[in-house]
Amino acid sequence: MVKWTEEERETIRSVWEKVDIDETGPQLIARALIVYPWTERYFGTFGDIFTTSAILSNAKVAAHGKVVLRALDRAVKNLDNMNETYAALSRLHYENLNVDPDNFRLLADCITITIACKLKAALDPQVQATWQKFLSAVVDAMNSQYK
Amino acid sequence: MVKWSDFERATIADIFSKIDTGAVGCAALSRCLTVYPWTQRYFSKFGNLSSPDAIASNPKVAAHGKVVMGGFEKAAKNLDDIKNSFRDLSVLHSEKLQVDPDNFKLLADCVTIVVAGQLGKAFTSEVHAAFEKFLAVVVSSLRKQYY
Repeated sequence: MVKWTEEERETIRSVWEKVDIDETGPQLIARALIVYPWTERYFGTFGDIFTTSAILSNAKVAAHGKVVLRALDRAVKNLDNMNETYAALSRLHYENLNVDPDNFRLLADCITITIACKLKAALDPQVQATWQKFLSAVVDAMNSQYK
Repeated sequence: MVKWSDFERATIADIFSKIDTGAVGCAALSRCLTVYPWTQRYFSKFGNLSSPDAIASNPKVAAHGKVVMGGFEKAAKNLDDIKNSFRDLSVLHSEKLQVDPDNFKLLADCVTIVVAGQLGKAFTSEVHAAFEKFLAVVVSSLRKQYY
């Protein structure tokens, strides 16, 4: 199980409380779809996601970003049992959605970059290190039900 | 050979015109040494790297960050021939410095985070995608002469 120091817990909470899900959510999946276009294959039911402008104005893409960030909120609130918290989500992505787990890491990178754009210098190297530790734990939890 | 769209060429030139390459290089290298501490093994001659503050204020780190970013700038000015212009650097990192090439990606990720932090909202998904492609080509050119 991942160990968290008091300082790390505080850092993660402090970064997370600066994130506005309604503002950041819509950008998140859009960024992944634009920067890593092969991820489009997972969103076949979202309609037109084949050009940058279509992606940026797609309501389903925007809504799904918020869904992902609300799930991330659960991870922030359950640092000590992330694997359990994400077990059902992991199974869903593995068995139903057939998502290649490498993409969790890519989405995590997009989250960090979006936050870097907002927080700027406040995402200093130590904060980044802690935040990336948190996201790797999340990615591991998402991987936990994959065989 | 890599093909660059007009948007990508303009975006890469624009990014380099807006950033202070010395400052970005220093910030990216210190970030890399802090977030991925095993990279410190390549800089044993740099003196005190024992804490994030020591790294951030280490003059050799700052100087070397500037050198590295100068290399990236050279690539940005030679978009159509990055592979050749990086041939000697690739040989140096492989044969003399013996750097595990996976670390190039880590440093590139840190450069992205620093640039995102500087540009803020201007680091849109499209700009991010163009910069990511540029960094991927640079990393691939640095890997080219390994083996």
